[in-house]
Amino acid sequence: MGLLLLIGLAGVSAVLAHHFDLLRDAAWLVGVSLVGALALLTAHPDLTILAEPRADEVCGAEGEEGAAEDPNLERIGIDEAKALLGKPGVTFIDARATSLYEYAHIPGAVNLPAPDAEVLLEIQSLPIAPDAQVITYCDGGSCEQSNFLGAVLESRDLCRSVRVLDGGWQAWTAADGETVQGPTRFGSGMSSSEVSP
Amino acid sequence: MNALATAWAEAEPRDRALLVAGWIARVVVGGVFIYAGGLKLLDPLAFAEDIANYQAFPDWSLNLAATFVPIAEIVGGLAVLTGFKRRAGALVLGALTVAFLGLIVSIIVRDIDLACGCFGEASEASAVGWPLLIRDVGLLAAIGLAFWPPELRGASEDEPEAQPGER
Repeated sequence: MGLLLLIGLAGVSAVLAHHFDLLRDAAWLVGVSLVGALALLTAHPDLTILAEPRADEVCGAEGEEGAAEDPNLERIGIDEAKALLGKPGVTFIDARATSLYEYAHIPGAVNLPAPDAEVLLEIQSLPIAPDAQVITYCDGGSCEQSNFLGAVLESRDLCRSVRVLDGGWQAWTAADGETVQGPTRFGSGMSSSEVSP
Repeated sequence: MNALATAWAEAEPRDRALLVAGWIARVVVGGVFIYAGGLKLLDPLAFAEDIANYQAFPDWSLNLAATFVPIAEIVGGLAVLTGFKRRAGALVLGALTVAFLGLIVSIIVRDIDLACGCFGEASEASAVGWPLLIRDVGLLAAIGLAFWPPELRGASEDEPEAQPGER
């Protein structure tokens, strides 16, 4: 066993020695990239915000832990949410980034990216009725954003009730929920008709 | 330039074909990675979200990966394209591509439906699946082709001793 280990080490050493220049150059390129990445992280203020908690750490498929973080926010299942789609007084709010929203979202959903929600709500009125039922959703990889957004809406008394879509966007698409593409109408001031993908 | 022409004239047809294929592969690989890295760098936050959606990385690493990967792609792409530390650049790009392949396989195995994020927002329509796996395998082959052929003498200081026909 010891002999095999010795032979293995000798083999690895020989390969490393033979390709030393190549590996040194590759390490140099990686080092340059790493320095660039750290410089960008330092210079980009928004990049310190992200670090979304993972799905299994926050809500998972059932969303139990996420709900426990904010017991005031109710959860709504995919089937019930699908049944409410298009009903008067029901508004879906997409807590994901605008780029993801524009790629595809639930029909009629308003895009209110969670990290920017409080700032946007300071400068614009949310285009929903005060007695609306709101359903927030995130990408499904994390429910924290929709929990956070729901808490913001509740704290501002902007709607009658807020519920968080269980499993978020991924669960919605997995259940063949209807989706559309189109630019956001909130935040950027844009207004455009949505088109089916 | 004369040294290049002489080396080209003295090269065997098989070596010439390999060199031409290598040059084409370098342009393709370099172009693809510089383009991909540039698009990701335009919106590192969106790319970080894409990485998070793979559910394969700890939270603390997301931002670092979202900045390191595109810069490494650009640096590696430039190295392959310009010939400055070409093989090292190809090695870095090859390692990244192998990592991408591992992620794609893990997504297929876990049956997760998500956009790959390979080209920033431009790739939102590109779902992770078998076509993407095949595309990346092809890209890995092109990286191999960009890595393998030696430079003509005088074309680069990267491998001054390399000559066509000497492998």
